[in-house]
Amino acid sequence: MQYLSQRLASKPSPGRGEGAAREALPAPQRERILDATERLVAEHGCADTSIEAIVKAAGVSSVTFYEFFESKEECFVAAFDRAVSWGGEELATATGAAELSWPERIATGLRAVTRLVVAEPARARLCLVEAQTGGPELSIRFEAALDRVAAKLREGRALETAPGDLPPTHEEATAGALAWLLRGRLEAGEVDGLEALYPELVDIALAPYLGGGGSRVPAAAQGDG
Amino acid sequence: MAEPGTQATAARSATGERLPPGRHGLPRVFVAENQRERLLNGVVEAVAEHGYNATTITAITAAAKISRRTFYEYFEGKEDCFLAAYEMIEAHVLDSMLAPPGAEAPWPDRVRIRLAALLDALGRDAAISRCFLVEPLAAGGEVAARYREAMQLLAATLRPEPPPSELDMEVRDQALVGGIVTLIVRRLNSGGAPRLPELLPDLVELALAPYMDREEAKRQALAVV
Repeated sequence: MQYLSQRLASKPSPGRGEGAAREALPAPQRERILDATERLVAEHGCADTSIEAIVKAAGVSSVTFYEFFESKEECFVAAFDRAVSWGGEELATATGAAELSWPERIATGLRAVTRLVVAEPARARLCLVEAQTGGPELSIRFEAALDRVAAKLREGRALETAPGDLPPTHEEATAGALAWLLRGRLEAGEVDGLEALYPELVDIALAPYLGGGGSRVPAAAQGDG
Repeated sequence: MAEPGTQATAARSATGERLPPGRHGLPRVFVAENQRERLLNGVVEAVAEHGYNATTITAITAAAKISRRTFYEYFEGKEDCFLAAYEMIEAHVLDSMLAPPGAEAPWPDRVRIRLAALLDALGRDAAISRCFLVEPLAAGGEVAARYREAMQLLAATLRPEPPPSELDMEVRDQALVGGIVTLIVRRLNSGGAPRLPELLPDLVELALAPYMDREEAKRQALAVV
């Protein structure tokens, strides 16, 4: 069950130095493969993006592809990892500069995220839309990224105004809600409207910790309980 | 009696009554419904097991114990078949949420009753839950569009009436569904379908808290259905 190009790219037997072929190749080829993957996946989705299309768009041979990745899925995961680590660095730059309080940090982070999505919609699509359709490994990565967001949100529980009895799942739900909203806009191609969504995202993320409660429904509509 | 009671028999099978035994075997209409239903069941089994993209027609027909040729008498292909199954699942889940006890109750109770019905319907069957909430995105196309519509309907069943005018309810609906789906899918992956009903208080609080006093939302969340 091997393609010839896979076999040609297979690693040299031990003794010839591990990963010698890998090291020798210029890194830009890998980057080009990942760039092409990002573009193609954003356009066609994971299922309809073939290795053939990727190598063609990247201008490399399929042998080169297999030097770096064993399968299409592995390539998607690498593209996802690259996109997330890029996003993480951008976020750290945006939120790390000044001494920010927790609500300011969350708001600044959300502002940065919406800007990144507008600036790099293909990359955002890979992270938020396609990550959930590209196989089990990718969905594990997606869930792990969601957990990191949830952990940032959970720091809000230390605020004096935060209720002591929020359900343990609250932050997972919030992280999922934020991702869902961004995904919806990306799927609808309404990236331009994201700026307008920003205040809503902040409210959804922060309101539960800042006290005051909801109380937005007229008492009459709340029924008798 | 050239055609012995074809219509009458068909009518009876449609109302679910027992079919009279006959040496000509089962009436055609019944056989047709039965085969189609078995294929729908087959696609649910296969998609839940392999994921939508890796599911083959062979896997569907094997799970349904029906020939490939018969498959193509009912469906054009995998997407067509999965869409039919999805529509049936969606109708079942939304109908159970909209059942009378919820419709007649005041808003907070209605939310609790409907979420309990949702978790109950999904908690019975992991394969159905995966097909309802996880796989439509991988399937894309019409199934994904149908899924987005279903999620909007689901959110609409939980809305306060009248909705608070200062909020963008479309955004709030999406945020709520995003939170609910995230928690359900995660619980499905970690604990399995039977443990879904445990999420009830968390989901109720998620749905109520943005609109009411937190203490009251908590009280409602912990009330027994």
